[in-house]
Amino acid sequence: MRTIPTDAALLNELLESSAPEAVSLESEVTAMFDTYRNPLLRFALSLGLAAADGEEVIQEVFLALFQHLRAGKPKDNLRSWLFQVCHNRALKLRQRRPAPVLVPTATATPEEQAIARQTKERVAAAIRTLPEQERVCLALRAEGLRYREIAGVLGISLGGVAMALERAVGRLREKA
Amino acid sequence: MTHVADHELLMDADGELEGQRAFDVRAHLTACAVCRRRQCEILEALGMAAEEHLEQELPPIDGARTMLQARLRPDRRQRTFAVAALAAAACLLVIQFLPERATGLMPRAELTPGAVREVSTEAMCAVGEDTDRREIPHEVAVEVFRKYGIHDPRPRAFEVDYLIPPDLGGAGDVRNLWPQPYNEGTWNARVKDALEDRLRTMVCAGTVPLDVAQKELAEDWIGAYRKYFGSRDPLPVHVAFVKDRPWE
Repeated sequence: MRTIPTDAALLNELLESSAPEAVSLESEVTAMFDTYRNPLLRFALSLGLAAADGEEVIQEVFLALFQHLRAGKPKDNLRSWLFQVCHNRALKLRQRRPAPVLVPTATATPEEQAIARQTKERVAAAIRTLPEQERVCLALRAEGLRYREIAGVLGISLGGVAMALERAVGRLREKA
Repeated sequence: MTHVADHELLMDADGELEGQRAFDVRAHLTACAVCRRRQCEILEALGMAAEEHLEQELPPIDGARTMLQARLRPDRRQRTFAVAALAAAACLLVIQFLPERATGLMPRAELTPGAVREVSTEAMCAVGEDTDRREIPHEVAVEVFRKYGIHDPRPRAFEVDYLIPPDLGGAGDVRNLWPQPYNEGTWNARVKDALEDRLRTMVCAGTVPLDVAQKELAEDWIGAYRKYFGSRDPLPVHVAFVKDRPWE
């Protein structure tokens, strides 16, 4: 489940093992892109962005990373930094272009309900109806972020992350 | 025996508890079958959620990487920005001088972001097209006109249209409705109805995911028409397409 290296040292290794004279900053950013594009895109989608908008946000994130590194700013915990910038940019884009609102199913026919009983569908549907903070905490946990990193990305407390995950689990177990 | 709270069971499983509390919870779990079972259930739910999240189908990375590399190279970046600036300026000119008749009244994102029901693709396709669900109560239609500042709509001039149609999971909610000129303009209700039919066919054939179709309709239905019919302008056969009745 935890697919992303959690140790910030791994990132530093990625960046520092590349001697400046041998590998350009552009290559470093591209290497980071190859590692983090999919996790960041999934995160952007969990915030309700369309794939095309998510891709544009990711491009902005890595252009910002390029500027960040070129300015000699800290390389500590760049993974959290990437998710945090992605979160901010995605929210800004979403303000300009609201996502469709999901409304409760009051009109599903018995036939629809019967077919929707498949576990995967139920889980997917249950996740879609979670409050955003709970859904996003689940997404970031699935991407391998530690609770303190999730707290930093979302600007909430560590306890807030744990409680959001607990509530999400409760709702998933009710609905799925 | 006082059992451990769910969030602490979760934190224990994720290695997030520290100090004495981590030790205490471990000791409790060793002795308490109830909490061990509960922790397993929590992890099972989280595992399903993580699987659902990580198994999302994403567009291939190659094109995105190439685009990023082009934008990162200073010389190319300057050229890209210059071309983009020129393109943006050209678009602005086109928009400013485009006759209103060509576009008709477009849905405004702040009034009509789109709203969908919770329904699976299989369920939606299994029930066939639902013509009853397309009927919009008069009072709802009046509310939609009011939101768009149309106080005395001409009968048969508009279709109060679903941004995301019921046949593609759209909800009968004012956030999913807008007054679309029925015959007026190039991109009118008849053309959009043709697109909706095409998208439903593709969704039910499994060639377009339902949520993608919903988002494309909500965000830029004209762009979606151009993409799926491969035509910059509405095809003549769609200009005369009749599916939904105008509002009277």
